[in-house]
Amino acid sequence: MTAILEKLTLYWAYPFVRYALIVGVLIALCSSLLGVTLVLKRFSFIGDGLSHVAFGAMAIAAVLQITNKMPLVMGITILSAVLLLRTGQNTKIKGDAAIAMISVGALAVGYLLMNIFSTSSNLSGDVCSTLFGSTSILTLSPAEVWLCVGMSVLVVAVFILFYNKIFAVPFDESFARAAGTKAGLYNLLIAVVVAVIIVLAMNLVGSLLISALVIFPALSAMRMFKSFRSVTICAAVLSVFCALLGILASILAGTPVGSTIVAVQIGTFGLSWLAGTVLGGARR
Amino acid sequence: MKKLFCLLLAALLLCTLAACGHEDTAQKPAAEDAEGTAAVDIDLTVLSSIMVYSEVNSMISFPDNYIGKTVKMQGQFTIYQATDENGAFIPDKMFFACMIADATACCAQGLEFALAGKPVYPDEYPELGAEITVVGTFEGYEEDGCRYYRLGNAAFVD
Repeated sequence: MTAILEKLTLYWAYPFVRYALIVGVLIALCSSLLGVTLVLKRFSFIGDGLSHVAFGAMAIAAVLQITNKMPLVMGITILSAVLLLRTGQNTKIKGDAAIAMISVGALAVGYLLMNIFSTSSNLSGDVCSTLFGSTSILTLSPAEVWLCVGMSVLVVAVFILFYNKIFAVPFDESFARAAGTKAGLYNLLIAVVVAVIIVLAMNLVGSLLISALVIFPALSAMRMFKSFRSVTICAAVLSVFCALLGILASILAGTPVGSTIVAVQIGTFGLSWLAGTVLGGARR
Repeated sequence: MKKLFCLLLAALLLCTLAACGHEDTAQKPAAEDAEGTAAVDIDLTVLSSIMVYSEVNSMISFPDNYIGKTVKMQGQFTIYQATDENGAFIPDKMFFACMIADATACCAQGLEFALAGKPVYPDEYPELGAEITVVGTFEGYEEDGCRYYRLGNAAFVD
């Protein structure tokens, strides 16, 4: 235990470790807040779909040799999120099929572009890093950290300001419309926020593991609590805890950050399920 | 509910102040190396693989923070021989490096080193791919109009 504490003290002196913990906590918090809404809307896999879109957009930016990839990646991902979340319900290709189509299509086109027009000497490394996060979270620059802080504050602020609407629309969109809520507008808002979170989260766990950040905290919280408020708060706490524990375990053991965080989340889900079963039995 | 989230937001904003801390580069107090002959400012051999990868990445990305520091690293010995426009090797343009794979083993990060006294290759070097530990001073140099970074005045240690 003393050895672990000494190691952690040593690692804390490294700026990139501090950046990783700050960004990790912020991304985990943001993704869990919206995760509850997405799970309730039966859009658990949208994180996966949009992250693949972001991967495709990143490939385009790499091919075009754009230095600051963020605006292009963010723009394309937001556009896709709007198409999927806002209009996806009323089109001929419905929700899950549309997500699957965009997800696989973007992934394939992105990899194809990176192969044909590759400008990097380590293509497999670039692809692996983007898909699995690899060490991305530990290689952030101060500017990227501040961008993430700004975006996260924006996401939390939107969640606080529109909490009631974000709560009402996923539960019963028809009722919300009948009650005068502009459901379309709030769906658009949710879509934009989800896209922002996805692009930010790519640094933390990579595009293949983003869904875990969105769904695991929400599902774990749902095992133990029933109301929207308590589930949201519990999901936020669990998500932040898992991200912190995952990052610390990863740097101590030298394991990949993204998959370590997801492994912690799987363990937490198992414990939550057990706790939910015990609590459920006690309530009866 | 809003009050709770406002508190949460405020707490988070406070947490982010940690990012404003002094931009040190995690240099530990200089320590004697294995042979006790030189002080080491940055000892990469005591870090986990993912930390080594990230620190070397930091050294390449923000070299000014590391210039003049004594670095000790462990990795695979590799060489790079420059070629001319016809693809033929240029005999005196050989570069030596210590490569470290990251935790996912799909990416590798390396640092070039130049041994003190310019020993002859291959007689005075280890086999290609051998595990080496090297200590040297982090420095920058110009080559064909480009700036590169390496461990200068380096030596192999056990």
